[in-house]
Amino acid sequence: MANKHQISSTQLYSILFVSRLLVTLTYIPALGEVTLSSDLLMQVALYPLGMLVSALPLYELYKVRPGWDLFDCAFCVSPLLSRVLAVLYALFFLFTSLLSVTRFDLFATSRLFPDSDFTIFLLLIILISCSAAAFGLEALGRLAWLTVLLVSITLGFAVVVLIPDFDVLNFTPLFYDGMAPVLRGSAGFLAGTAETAALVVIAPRIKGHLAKGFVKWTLWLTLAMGLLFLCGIAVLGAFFDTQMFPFYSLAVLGEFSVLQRLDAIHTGVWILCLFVKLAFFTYLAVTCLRRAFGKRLKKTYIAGCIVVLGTLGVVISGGYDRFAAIAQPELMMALFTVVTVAIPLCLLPAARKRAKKEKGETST
Amino acid sequence: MKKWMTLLAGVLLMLTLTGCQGYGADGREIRERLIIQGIGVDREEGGYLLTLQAFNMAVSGGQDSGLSGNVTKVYESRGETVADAMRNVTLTAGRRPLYSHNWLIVFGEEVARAGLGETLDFFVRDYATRSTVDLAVARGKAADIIRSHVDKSSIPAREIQMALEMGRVNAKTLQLPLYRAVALLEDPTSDVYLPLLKPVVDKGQGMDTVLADGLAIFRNGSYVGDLDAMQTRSFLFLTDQVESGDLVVQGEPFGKASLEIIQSDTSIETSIQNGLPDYHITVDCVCDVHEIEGADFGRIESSVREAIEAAASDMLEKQLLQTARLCLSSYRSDVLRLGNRLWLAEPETFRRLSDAWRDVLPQITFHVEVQTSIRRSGQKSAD
Repeated sequence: MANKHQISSTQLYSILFVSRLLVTLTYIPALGEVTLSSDLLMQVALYPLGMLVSALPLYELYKVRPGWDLFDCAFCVSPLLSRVLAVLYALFFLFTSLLSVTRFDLFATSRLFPDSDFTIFLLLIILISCSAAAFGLEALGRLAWLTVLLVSITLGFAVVVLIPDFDVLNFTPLFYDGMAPVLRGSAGFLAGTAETAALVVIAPRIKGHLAKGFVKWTLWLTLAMGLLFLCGIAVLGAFFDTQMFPFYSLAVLGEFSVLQRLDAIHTGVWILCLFVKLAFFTYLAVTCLRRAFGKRLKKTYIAGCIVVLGTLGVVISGGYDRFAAIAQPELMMALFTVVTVAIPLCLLPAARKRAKKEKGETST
Repeated sequence: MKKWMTLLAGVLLMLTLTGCQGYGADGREIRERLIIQGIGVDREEGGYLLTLQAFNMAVSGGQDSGLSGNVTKVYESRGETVADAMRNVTLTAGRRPLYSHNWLIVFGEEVARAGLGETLDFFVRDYATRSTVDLAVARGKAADIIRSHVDKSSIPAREIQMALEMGRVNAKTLQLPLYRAVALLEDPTSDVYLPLLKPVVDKGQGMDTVLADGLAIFRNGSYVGDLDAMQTRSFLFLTDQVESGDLVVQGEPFGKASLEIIQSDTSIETSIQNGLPDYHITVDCVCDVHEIEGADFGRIESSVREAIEAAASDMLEKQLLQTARLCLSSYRSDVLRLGNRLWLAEPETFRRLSDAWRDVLPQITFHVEVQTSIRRSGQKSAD
């Protein structure tokens, strides 16, 4: 099961960091329920706990058979199951790509070019990003490093220059409306982390300590999300909820001396994040399809992903209601639970049994 | 594969890094845009009258004359809504408005009294407007402010916006950008406040100009009362927004003394007394002595210094209390954001009182303690 296409865990988690951070940067308050400002911070604080708990089945599976991916484990049960799961995960990764691209389309058409037809640009983004999946994991990993650096610089700048505008009175008492909205919100954040499911496919291709990297990734993500929400709430106050893309509104405010009106730079970096995310999830979808139907048709699978994403992207493009229909928190949560928790949990006994059996055979 | 990717990247660059040609009908050319510098919003029967101060491309594009005089032109536009009026300016200007360089939005007194909510909606909702634009209220018509040729400056709206910026220096006015105003309007208990602008005639130069004239206080989004320059300074002390400014104090041993505020720090403690909120405000004010009427160019004795400090503290305590009472009792407006403080400090009391917060405001008890200290007494030798 060894694979020659290996990248370091740092490179992998750079890709995952950029990919997940894009979801936060394009956070849409209207998609979830109205939450009091300080409770948003509590949701972020609970996020790593949820991440670690939800990743336990995956971790167990990885511990039992470090060189196997989920489909190898499913193969122990039935070759057909392995294929079915590979298709299912490919569809999930494609759906995640579709969500990202349509979310960005909504951002572009409501904040950047509302008077223009964004369709051609959308198709070009899909075409180029998905084609980049052909370069493989290593190239994406290297690009992700650069992207992490750029995101950190641009957002770090915005946060630092906005510190003087922090207003304590923009915060609210913790748990004023009880624990339930906080838990629901935290579950929503968790559901937006489709990247965890990527480990199902990609874990055996990673050099280095995967579990340690996962913890670090989660903590860095929490820190970045925490800083963004802290800054958003402290600076924007109730204005935060009035905005379709509040973090873009926040980024626009970050000015210092002659460094003003940096919207274009932020937008450019966010497009780079989208590029990395789309390329990565297309790579995952193609990998799954190759597991299901054979390894020969890589380019055909990529082309298929482009066609599917392009078609669905254009259909959903331009309408908030259409996007909201596919980005429902309940749907996202259900999908996250199935692909990240339920399926690995179901395969765990079979993988353990197989490992035990092999151990027995080796000892005799 | 690499060739294909290079080709695709090339196509993307060609499509995205284009110039402005071919977009003439959409108004992408800069000369086809009306570059707005200031907007005045007034009410008229059946809708709004907008007065727009925009770059006069015919003048500002010139080689020499560009920045030597006024480079703006004023347009009027009417419509049923603000958005409608904004679109209708294309009928006279022949160009689409561009708001990204807008410095100022001024609301006429009538608009402010009717309520800012519906008028502001366009500026919050429209993608092209900037959330950092400053807001103000005109005494009278906003059109008079926008039409005013402030000191024959090149961009009058910018001059007015700079006068508001000077609130940091004089503590008699302030800047409130759109996003902060909306945050206050959206807050469950807080009220918004905006700087007041008054058209005046500069008799020395015989021309119209604009004076930053205190603050407009709102209740539930509607303009209900004013604070004059001194009260504005007190308000800024109460809300911890004083960065600099002058205090003129009077007393027996020194006559009149002028102090420059170097640093000010306000802290507010919230407690509950007899079921109602009680606020204890402490202001630490550090000043330099700028001028003393009865100093005779001599040294300032420590007793005089203490007398000045005591007089300044006493004066500020009275002014702060009077301003707080005016806002809370007369205007029943929570511009001091006391509701937010109660919410943070005593959430359960806030839950009980929040529905009737306007009725609670006049009953709030308030204590002010000001501690003034003089840091330096100018270039003269110190005691």
